[in-house]
Amino acid sequence: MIPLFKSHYSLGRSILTLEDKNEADDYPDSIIQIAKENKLKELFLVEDNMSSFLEAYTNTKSNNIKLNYGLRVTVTESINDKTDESRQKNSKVVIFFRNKQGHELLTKLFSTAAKAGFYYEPRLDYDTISKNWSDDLLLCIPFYDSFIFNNTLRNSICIPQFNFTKPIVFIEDNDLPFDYIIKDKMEKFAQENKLELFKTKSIYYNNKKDFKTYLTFRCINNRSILNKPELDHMSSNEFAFESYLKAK
Amino acid sequence: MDDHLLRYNKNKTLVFIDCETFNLCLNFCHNIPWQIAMIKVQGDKKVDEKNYYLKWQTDLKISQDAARITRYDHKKVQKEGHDPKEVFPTIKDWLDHADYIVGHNTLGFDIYLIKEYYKYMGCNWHHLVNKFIDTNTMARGIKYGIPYNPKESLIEYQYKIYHTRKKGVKSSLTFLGKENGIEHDYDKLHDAINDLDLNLKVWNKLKWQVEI
Repeated sequence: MIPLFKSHYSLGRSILTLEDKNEADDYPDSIIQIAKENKLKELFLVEDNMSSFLEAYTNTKSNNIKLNYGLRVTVTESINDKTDESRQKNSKVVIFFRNKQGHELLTKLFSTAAKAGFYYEPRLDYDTISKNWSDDLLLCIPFYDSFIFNNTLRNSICIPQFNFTKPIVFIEDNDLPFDYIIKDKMEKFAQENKLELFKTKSIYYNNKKDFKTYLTFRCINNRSILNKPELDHMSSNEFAFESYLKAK
Repeated sequence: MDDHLLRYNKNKTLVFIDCETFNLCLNFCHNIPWQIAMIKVQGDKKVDEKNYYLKWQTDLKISQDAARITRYDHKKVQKEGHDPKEVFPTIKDWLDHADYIVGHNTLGFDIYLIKEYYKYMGCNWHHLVNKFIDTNTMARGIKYGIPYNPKESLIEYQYKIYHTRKKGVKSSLTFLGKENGIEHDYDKLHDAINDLDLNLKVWNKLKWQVEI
């Protein structure tokens, strides 16, 4: 199982920092600290933007931890379509870079997403991705919010075009009622298309007991309160490193 | 020709469930149900009911607003409340043996409290998911003009409708009751059994409009 960390640089989505510290203290837990405490030799970081890269690179390098950096980004049918209808065609992919050339390509792609493709959020389309694609990048289909997830549980019409690469499929189990529905569909898609499938665990906090802190953080960002979070399906405390250790 | 449809089937057992809680959080870290009511239905008729007040060992407090809206009576809960471990076997028995578990907004709320309760008791809950019928999503599906296709999964259809938001579409239990001309004591809403009785009446109207 691969632990997919997300840091607080992905605004409002994680309470983990990338600070270089050795052990837990009274301040927020750090992914670097978790990696050191658990002797992780490599780190998988999946962010919603690329602003954490410098701190992640610096602090993993100084601690001899291999960094695998991925961007979770929206893909739509066409980045030129900026209508409400186009949002029904949105889904998420994760793009990792393998080396320096890959980093440059991913930076360029994210820049396109954040400028030309921006509509409520940075967006890419499959045409833009394929034109900028090389083997220095690695495409993954995340468990949540992918085209499979959105076509199954939302009224979305997402048509993927993976003719430029063989994506890797991520599956997770976070004890949400619809996890098994998505898992079945992801496994079927991987089998039919002869794709590699990895078990993963998205990690937004260290221990399960940190869920309440995470929920509070999400509520603040959502301008809601703990008594009425107004966050769909926000019930699972399994997005924790502790759950990864138990499940791996 | 339509004999297979639930509306004609008097052998299927439906358990209607409603949880009254301290607030709207979906995890036991900040919320617990203080009342769980269930009615057992065969055909159109209620055949049994259970109404439990639950007395938890907790420091959680109900907010004034929630207490008012849900008609929380602290003295009643303390006096008539059961140990959650004591009543769980009956709740589990009803839900595990139901063909369908019905409720209003179950997919957005009650399912998570039921899940947490099962986990608290160390029990697996996954087998329940496919049994849920959420009358809120079913009603919205009808109002949106997105009918359920019996060839697709009912739970996937309900999630699709759940995630589809359209402005101006009202689907609260009270609204659906009044809209369908259902006679009911609407002043007693948020009394769990009373809510479920209304939920059953609404379902008995809805089931003629969906091909389940």
